[in-house]
Amino acid sequence: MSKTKYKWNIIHISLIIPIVLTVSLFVLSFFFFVIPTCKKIKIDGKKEMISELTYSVWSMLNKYENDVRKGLISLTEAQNEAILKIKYLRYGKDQKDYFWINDESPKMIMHPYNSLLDGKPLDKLKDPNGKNIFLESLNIVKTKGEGFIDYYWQWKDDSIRIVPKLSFVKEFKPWGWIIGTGVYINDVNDEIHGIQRKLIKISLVIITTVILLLISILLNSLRVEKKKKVIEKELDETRKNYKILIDNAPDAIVVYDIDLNRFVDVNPMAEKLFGSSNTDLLNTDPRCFFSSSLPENQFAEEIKALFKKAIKGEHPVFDMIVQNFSERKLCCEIRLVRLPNKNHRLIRASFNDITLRKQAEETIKANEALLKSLNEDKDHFFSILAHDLRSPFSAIISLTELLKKNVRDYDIRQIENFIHHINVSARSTFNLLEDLLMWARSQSGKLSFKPQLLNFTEVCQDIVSDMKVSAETKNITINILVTEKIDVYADIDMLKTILRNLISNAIKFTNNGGHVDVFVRQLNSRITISISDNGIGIPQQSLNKLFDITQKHTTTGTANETGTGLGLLLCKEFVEKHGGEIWVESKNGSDFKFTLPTISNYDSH
Amino acid sequence: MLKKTILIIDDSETSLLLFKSLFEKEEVIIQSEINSRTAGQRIRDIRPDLIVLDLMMPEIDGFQLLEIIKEDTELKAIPVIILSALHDSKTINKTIHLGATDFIKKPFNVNEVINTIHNQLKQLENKT
Repeated sequence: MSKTKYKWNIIHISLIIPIVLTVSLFVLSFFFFVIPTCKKIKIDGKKEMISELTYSVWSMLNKYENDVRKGLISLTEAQNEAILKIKYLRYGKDQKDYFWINDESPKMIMHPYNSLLDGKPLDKLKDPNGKNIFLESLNIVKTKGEGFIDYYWQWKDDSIRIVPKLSFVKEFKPWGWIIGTGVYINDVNDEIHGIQRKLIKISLVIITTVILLLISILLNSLRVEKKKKVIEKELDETRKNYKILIDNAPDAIVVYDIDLNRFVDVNPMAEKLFGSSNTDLLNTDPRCFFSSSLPENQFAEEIKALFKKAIKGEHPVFDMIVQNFSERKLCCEIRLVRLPNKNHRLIRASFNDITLRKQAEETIKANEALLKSLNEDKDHFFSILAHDLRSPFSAIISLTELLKKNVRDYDIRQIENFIHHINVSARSTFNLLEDLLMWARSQSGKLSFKPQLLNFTEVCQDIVSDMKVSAETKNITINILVTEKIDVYADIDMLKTILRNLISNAIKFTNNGGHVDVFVRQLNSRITISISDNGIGIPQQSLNKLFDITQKHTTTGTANETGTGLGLLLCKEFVEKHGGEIWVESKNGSDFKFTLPTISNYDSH
Repeated sequence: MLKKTILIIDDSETSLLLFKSLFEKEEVIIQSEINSRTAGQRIRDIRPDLIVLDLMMPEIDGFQLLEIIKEDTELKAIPVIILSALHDSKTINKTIHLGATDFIKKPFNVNEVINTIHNQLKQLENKT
């Protein structure tokens, strides 16, 4: 409130003081310069006038003197004629101003209004102020030949009324006369007063006009001031609202001065984002907050281009890594907007922390890629599976068709051969179906997992006896190199599947007359089971692909046994279900190894 | 008239047996190759008039072998008929793109296979 009053007083003072000063200066200059100047000019004019008139009279006397010299007239006649003419000479206001003549004695020769003085000595005649008028006149003409003298004298022929007078006196040497004439100062004053009155009237009109103009200006100023106050109030409210908006914005907002290369304003969210106080932020080189994978120069050029766009009035939006005071890296979506300012290039930058969004996007992208890859793997896997199912069926169908058609033409050896192939194909299909069903149940989570303490040697012997036929076909020996009783804590079905698949694979990739060895080593609460053979082995580059669903391919054994590799996937899954590991080594033949627990030291899966 | 030679390349012994049995009464010479790794050399050695090729084989698969045949200036003129249990449209298109002449899906009808092979041989005769 006091601030408003203070402003109001300033306006009053700034407007009223010049008005008062102007008017005062005008009045003062009027009375102390204009009027005295007028008076001086008037008096100078009068002086000039009376001196000129005196010169005229002097010329007239000079003419008479010339006539006297020429002998046209006697001196006395000339003097009398001259006195007569001069006595009645009048000029000025009311034709009251006159000439007088006295000689150098001094004695009055002629005075038109005071004939009593004619012929009388004047050396003792003084005005009321004690001025000896005629002696002083005599002194003037004797020293300078002519001159002005002011004194007091009677008003015309009124000897009572004594008024100030200014006279000019000039000597006419041939006759020893002094001619004088003067004007009444009152007449001059009257004229000056007349001028003064006119000037005062004009001045009043001017002052009134000026005052009216100034009042109008003042009123206008007041109106403007009032308007300004309203606008200022609105501006103040807008500023406050803007501040509230900025301070409560969900984004971090900073105002950056390109010319000073520093932040000039930051909102609370910016303090939070950069992890620093307002003061620290305003005093830190903003470049230290931003990083890029680009080379420094290229990054600077990129930033420059973005600022250039903003300066042009565009609103560039871009993502950038912001490293705050706590060294934390955030991914921000930054939007630049130019702020109007006459002196500085200001840019408002709003930062939207999209780190989480980016991470989510990355995760989605990764998941999408994973899903796509899984889908492709699944398609690939199913196409292999379809192939491996069709192939034996195709063989069975075609072989039986041929048998049906040509059974009478074939000899018994051919028929036996056909039946053997049909049997191999059917067995291969059945094994594949078994694995497939097991795998499907495992994938859908329907496969029960009931680990229990088992005698490993017994389980292993059961499986080996089941595989005896296929091993004998290729004349392969299976050795269980376990001398003592070894316990294992496992699900019996899963353990059997693992052993059947690994032993069956060993037989498949071992040449006629080879051998397959089962060996068990116990270490603490785990056993490592090794199933090795002296077969064809596995190429080094294929070792990593064996347990990968994406790398499945039809494989053919040493006796052209078929298989999808699904069995190995099952082995891996079942071993891992027991908390174990499976791997393969291949040097001379293959050596598949897997670990299983001997006691219940894991949670049920 | 010279008997035409057909080379069947398949890693399945059953398939080879089947194919031989199918054409044993026909006026053709059936040659078989179970190992895809040595199949390329076998083709160069016997220069068959027609190749019947399986796709899913270990080490070198049918696609790679087809590519090898079609890139070889001396072998590329030999027509190749694909015989496979893998017969989705993507696979069929891929083999046609690589230069296969025809595609027989497994399981097949024996008469259909015989007819397809015969047609192909007839076309070869017409050419010569």
